[in-house]
Amino acid sequence: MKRELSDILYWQQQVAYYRDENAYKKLYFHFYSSLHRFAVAFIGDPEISEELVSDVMIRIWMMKEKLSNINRLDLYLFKCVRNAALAHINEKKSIIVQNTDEEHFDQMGYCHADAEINAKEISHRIESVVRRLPPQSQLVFRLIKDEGLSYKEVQSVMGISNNTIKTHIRIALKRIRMALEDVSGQRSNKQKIK
Amino acid sequence: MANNAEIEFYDLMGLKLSGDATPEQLERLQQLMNEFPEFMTLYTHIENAGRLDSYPIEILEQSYASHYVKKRLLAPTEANYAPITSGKKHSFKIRNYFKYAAVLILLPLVGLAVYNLYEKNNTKHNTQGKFKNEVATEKGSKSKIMLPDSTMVILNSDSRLTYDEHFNKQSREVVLTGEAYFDVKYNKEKPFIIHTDKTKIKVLGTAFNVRNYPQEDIIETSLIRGKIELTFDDKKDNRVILNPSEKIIISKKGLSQNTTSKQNNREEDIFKLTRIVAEDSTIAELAWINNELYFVNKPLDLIARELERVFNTTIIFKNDVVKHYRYTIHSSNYNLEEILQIIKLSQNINYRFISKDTLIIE
Repeated sequence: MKRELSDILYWQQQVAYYRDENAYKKLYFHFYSSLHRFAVAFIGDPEISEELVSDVMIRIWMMKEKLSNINRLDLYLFKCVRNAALAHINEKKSIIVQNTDEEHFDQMGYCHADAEINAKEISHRIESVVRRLPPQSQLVFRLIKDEGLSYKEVQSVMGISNNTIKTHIRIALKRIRMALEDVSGQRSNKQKIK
Repeated sequence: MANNAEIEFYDLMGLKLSGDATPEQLERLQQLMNEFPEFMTLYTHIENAGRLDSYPIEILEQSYASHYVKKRLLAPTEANYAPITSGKKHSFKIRNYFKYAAVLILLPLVGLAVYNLYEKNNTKHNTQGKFKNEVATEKGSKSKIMLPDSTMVILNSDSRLTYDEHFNKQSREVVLTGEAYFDVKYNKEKPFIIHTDKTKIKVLGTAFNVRNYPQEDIIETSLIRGKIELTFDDKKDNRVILNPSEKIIISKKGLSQNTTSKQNNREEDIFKLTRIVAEDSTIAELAWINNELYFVNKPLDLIARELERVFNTTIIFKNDVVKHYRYTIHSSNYNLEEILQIIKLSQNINYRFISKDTLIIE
């Protein structure tokens, strides 16, 4: 995400000053998957998450010129979604439910036709474990692993301390390790998965 | 029961993943991995797991299409602004006996600010027996409404939505003739139910389009987000659940078929399930909301009926054969002349206006 920062800033300017609908669409497409996963990790429900992300993205449009003042739009958006998710939770007084029924959004195209362990299978397992992590741990892990945020940035988005982040990482990695325990080390094919 | 080395490994790995690790820390990480092969394995697996892909383009297109509808309504672009109830025939009837009638009339003109006003005024004054709240549109105009529960409804031309004083008590029930787009406020306790001809559509919190014009033989429901359940008044056993991107087309004739007949009423006679597709960020079934017309391989008589409704014009066919000609048209500004030109060019068809709002196709 960081190397595309210049693109994002450009689109921001276009939207802020020229009301460029194409640039806006590019921003939406760029951020949607991450934001949506982030929201789902918080509240569990994919449909409500879609609404939350939509509301946040509308706010971006409504900001007009102020949008150009934001340096890290990714962090800003994560914060917005987080706030929206927390507000929703407070409103509904619902417990954060880990939605394991995410087949609808499991669009990674993993082929697990047979029981043979292969690289994709491992990725799938890891993803599976991550999805079942306690919400905060999942969020922290995703922000670091998938979104490439630094500890400081995670602190800023989540409003938690460095130590808390460390704890969540430990939980995440330990669970992943346990889940992969039965995968023997004979996996020699270490091709990088895109 | 993790030991110290394990914890240290996790901490270092976290720093590596986030890019925060110092050279010394990286060295120490390598050391640990050399000492404990299982750490090395875990590290490799996680590194290789790769970044999660972006959602498939179809999901993004779909999501953007329904997002765009909302955005267009709440935050219209400054250029090409086409307010929902603009147009020469800017009239709509509101009939009810409730105090907030004035607020409803103002709604399309004043926009968002009015919603707050509406909620404040919605005190339960009227206790004199039953009354109905009704919003109706005439041909050539649309209307945007916010219901007492914050559900947003956009009514297409020549449509009517009614609800009574029980709305938002135990349930939220409305009756619809015509066409409307619903963005239903999430409320698990109070199911939102739409009554159409002999069909009930039950929703929890979701966005979808319903089409139930009396002149048409079909009832259509397209689901954008959420989940809805359809039941049929005369066939209690049939129950259909729609998932996002699904569309159901119900035959009114099929619904009213006599169930006492010996023949088993096949499902295909009653309804058909298809998918909705977002092309170029436009969903055909929702195009009307953004003042767009989108016909995909539709016969000319159906197109004509739609044009009549949108432009409040009468269209007469001199020649029955051309009624069956099929067209695919996507027009992004409501312009009758433009559309007629397209139709005229592609086949050997002519048209002429015999009065301000009547035309003949031959």
